[in-house]
Amino acid sequence: MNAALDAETLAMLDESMVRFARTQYEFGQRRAWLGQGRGFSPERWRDYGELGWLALALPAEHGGFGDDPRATGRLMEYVGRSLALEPVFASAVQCAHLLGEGADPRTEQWRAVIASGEQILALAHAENPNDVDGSEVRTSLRNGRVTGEKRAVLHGDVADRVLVSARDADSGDVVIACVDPMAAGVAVKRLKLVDGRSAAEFCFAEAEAEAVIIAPDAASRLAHTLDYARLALCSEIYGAASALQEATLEHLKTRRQFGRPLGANQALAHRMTDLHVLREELRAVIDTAELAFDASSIERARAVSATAAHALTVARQTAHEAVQMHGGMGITDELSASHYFRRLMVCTRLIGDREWHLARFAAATSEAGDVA
Amino acid sequence: MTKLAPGFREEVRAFCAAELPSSLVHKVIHNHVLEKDDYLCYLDVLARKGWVVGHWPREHGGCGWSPLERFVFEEETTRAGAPWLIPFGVNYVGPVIYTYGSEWQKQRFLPRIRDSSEWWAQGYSEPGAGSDLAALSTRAVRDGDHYVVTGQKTWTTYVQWADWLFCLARTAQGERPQSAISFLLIDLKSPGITIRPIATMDGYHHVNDVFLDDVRVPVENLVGDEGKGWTYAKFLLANERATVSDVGHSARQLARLKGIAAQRMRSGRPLRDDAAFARRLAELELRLFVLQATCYRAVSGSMQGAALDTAASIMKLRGSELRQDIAEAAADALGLDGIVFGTANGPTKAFATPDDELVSVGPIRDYLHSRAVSIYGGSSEIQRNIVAKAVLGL
Repeated sequence: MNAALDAETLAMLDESMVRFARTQYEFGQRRAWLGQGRGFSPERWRDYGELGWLALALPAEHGGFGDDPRATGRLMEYVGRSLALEPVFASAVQCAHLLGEGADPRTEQWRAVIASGEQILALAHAENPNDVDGSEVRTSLRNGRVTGEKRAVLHGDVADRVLVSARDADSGDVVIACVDPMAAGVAVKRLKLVDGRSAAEFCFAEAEAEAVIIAPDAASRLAHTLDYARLALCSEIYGAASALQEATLEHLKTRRQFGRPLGANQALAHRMTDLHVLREELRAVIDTAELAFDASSIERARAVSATAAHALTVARQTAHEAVQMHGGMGITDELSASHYFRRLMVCTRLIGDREWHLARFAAATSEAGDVA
Repeated sequence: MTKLAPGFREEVRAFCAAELPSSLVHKVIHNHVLEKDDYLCYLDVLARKGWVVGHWPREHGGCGWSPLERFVFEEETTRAGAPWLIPFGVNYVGPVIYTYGSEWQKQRFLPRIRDSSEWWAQGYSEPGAGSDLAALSTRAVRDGDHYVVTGQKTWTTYVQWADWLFCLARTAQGERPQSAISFLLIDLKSPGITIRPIATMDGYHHVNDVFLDDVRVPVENLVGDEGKGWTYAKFLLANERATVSDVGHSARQLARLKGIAAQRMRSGRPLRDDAAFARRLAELELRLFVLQATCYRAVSGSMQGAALDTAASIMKLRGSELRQDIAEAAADALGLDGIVFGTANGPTKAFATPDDELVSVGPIRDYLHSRAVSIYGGSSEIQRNIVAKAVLGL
């Protein structure tokens, strides 16, 4: 664990992010950003860079905390709470972590532009949308050229560079190729995600790789990144579910039917309580998983998949119940509830299949038990 | 206990197979956006067979179907990929008019419901009166031979296509809230009516706000007696018993889900062969089986009294839950594609039409829309209250 990240620093970071969400990311303003330009706020993106938030997942020399996931967790909580539209997750979480501390000078320049926000990177990894563990990589790298297809690349449409997982045609190993999306041989289809953010589908036909990075142990670094990203998404779910629960609670207290507030119905009070319990549990498992992150790979897998499985439950139950308790208003575009609903949908898909996480958790548990 | 006439179900099936245009069925099965013309196309197909108002009595131009026949008709047509038979005229106001309306109202309105030349919308819910409908505050004040109606209705489905609005409004003060409500038929071309679309999360224009500002409604458009509107509204809901479960929709969506699960490959084999997913499919299939049995029991005349009254609540409750869980499973089956809601070539607009031919758009739209099913037409909370009070005495 990085000594620089003590409890006090984390608390300050958390506080400043909650304040920023409240004062600088107002829901009505967000709606305007969603409908213009690249679908996010260039000003807020610049703010994040200046505040140092885009460097949190980078090594210490860039002002970050390396592989310690806690600061990134707070950042993603902010993203969930504010329904932030900027490419924080793609660039400053997935790609920043993937680049890691690699000594390759070619990765150095990308770390610097990620930290400043000057350029946006996106991770193009998934090929089969039903691939549960991220192992299905068929895209190939041959003679420095990338060929293959990548699906639903979050913020891929605005990326200045794409980090592409590919199999080296000679060794069969997974490598990471850095590709300029404007290069010859790259076809981009711009997609709209259900939460309003955009993504891209890439088709590479012998597209030139500017650099092949972290080649020797790319597969293990990629696996590490996928877990880091899953845990970060759990924090995004925590942030979004918290805000949605707060809005729902407010509705139960203020909306009156049959002469009393909705929340006076015990059935609704109990359901609201169940949501609150789920959220408290999620806070606890995220904290636990963040601390277990630099332990053995088995312990890491166990903690991350446990957290992911629980987060998926929290996300879905909160989304469904919040809309139900809001009544018709819950499905309108006008209220934030439906936007949280849709963001939680995206978070859950990106985290992956609950059954797979459950099985992985069970396998890691028995393996850890066997060792003990 | 009613029995289905021999061959009736087969006749409906054969009719669907022969008469439903395949392009329309394709749109419905894949949850594409339907326009008014799509619904009109279906109504034309039904009209040629004389089935637009099959459940109406023969004297009013129907076929006099029993509740069971009506149920089978809805189940089979929906399962086969027919569009929603928009119920506001055919199922809702039509029966209210032929049961409680004046001779003039029957002559004026029923033929145009039968031939689809006039479309209806429902003016029930208000911003302050959703589940608690009796709290509605739209007022109708008598002024000579008119009522002057002022208020706001909301969640008004497809009023953008409608010619007439049937509307609950308060015609008196005090007493029990229910006893001062009247049932009015309002021409949507009347001065003082403003319609505002409500954008919903599935991106499709279903519902609207309707603002009524000193709208003059002739007294001959009052149905039945002044102050009896609540009775007529309850009759209307009871009349809906046969269709609330939407079991045909669930059957169709489950078939579609199984199709998706057969195509999608997970870890080198079809998703439907994945043990966990196969179990999920089996549970949904079981619940559909149970729901169908519950519906047949309710519409076949073997139930009476309070049990029959609450059967509709049970069907609505279970029907909603099943629809939602099938839609959720279908979105899940798409994996990462389950978040791709269109191709984007410009800024996001509230009513931007998603790209229907993308495989994921229909299932996502159905999932988003399914969340409303347990809210509209009496929320699941209201249905549970009805069962708790009426049957269990709690």
